Amino acid sequence: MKFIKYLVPGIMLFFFARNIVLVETSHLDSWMGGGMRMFGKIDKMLYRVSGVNVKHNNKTYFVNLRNIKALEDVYIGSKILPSDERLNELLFDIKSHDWYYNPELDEVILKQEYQGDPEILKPIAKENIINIAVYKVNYNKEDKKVSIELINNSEKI
Amino acid sequence: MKKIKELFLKCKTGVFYNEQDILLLVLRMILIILLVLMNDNAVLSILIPVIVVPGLLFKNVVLNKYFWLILTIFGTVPYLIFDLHGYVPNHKHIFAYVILAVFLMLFFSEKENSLNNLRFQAKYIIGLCFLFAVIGKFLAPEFLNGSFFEFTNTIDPRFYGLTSVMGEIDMQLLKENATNMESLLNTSNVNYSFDLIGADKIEDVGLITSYWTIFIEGMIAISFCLPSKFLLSKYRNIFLIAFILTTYPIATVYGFAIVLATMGFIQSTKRSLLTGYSLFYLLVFIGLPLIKIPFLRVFNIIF
Repeated sequence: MKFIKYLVPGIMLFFFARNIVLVETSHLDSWMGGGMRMFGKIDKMLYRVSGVNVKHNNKTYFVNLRNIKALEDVYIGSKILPSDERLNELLFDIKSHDWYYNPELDEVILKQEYQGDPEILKPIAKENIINIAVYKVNYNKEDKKVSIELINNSEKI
Repeated sequence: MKKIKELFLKCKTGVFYNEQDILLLVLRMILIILLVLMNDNAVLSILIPVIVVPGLLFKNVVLNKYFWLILTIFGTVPYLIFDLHGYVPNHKHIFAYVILAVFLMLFFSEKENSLNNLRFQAKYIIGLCFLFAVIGKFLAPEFLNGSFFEFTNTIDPRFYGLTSVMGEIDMQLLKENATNMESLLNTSNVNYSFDLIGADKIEDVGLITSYWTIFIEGMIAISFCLPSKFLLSKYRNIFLIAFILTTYPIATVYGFAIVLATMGFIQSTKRSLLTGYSLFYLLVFIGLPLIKIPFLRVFNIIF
């Protein structure tokens, strides 16, 4: 019973160790997972970009998942822990939705998010949904430029 | 004048208080935090007020160990078990640790020793939290070379007040950074990039802020993790108060600040005594909604 007071510090140590391992091996956002590593790395899930690469008419479209309400859980889950395993699972979920090409705006959309005339849309085959890719924000101290850099995508599996 | 003297003396010597009343106050402070901030999903938004409000109102409920068992389940499942599936910031993990600490105290401690047990746990939760934060900073090269604060101070609107004053940068230009960042996060073009306005003017500020943060967080980590018999441990509240005063008026992280003030309060109380430090943390707990005021911007407008 005397040692029960060491349980919470012990759990904290476990989460910290898990954070280090998952950041190094599975691209976990270092600010997440109870590692208490806030205000350290620039790369955090709020600044990550997650999207789907879709092929249509010999062109590849990157569909940013940020504003797709139906895929909110996929968007957040992919940014927190973009491990090979999770991205593969999420791609399966993404493929279960109906994707269409909108020729008017030259973009790929999710049918349930579209409110215009459905007649103009062209369906996209599941095999043309190539992968889900997650990027992190990259800040170059030398030229003061901010860009994005690929962390992982589901192709590597 | 006499009253000010009395108040000063109270802050210095502390206020004697019944141990049971301190425990009740501590538990209710924790419940207030849960009521206000434990609303991450529809289930918690509905159930937490239903569970917590009776605890706030009735003494027998708040001291009931099974009440804290229920809260432990609702705290650990979303914040410790499924924490990698949704957005669970670090202070939510701390909520779970604090609830778990109360649960363990009520279940396994002798009644007369229960608050002491909680004091011990609060001290180590703070110490470890800052120890991990400091180690994390050493694992981030961009923090050590100042890039982190160069980037954050010019991208995150919470820091614009400080950045515009320190770097003499027009606030409108900083807002352009926020707009560009929004475009980057919404982009369909993975080659998109933009120039960070004002970053060159705050290089020194970035470095100074980085090393101040490492120093103060490091001192908190050491002084809270050391056993109380060490001299440095006796100064732990001074370091934590310095951190609170230099951080939260600028970086308004409400959830983290309020749980830190509560744990600071718990560990700073002594048997039947609210110390001057306890009164400070209590004041921070009550006054924290004020951090919504952008002090530096107000200062900038006036002067």
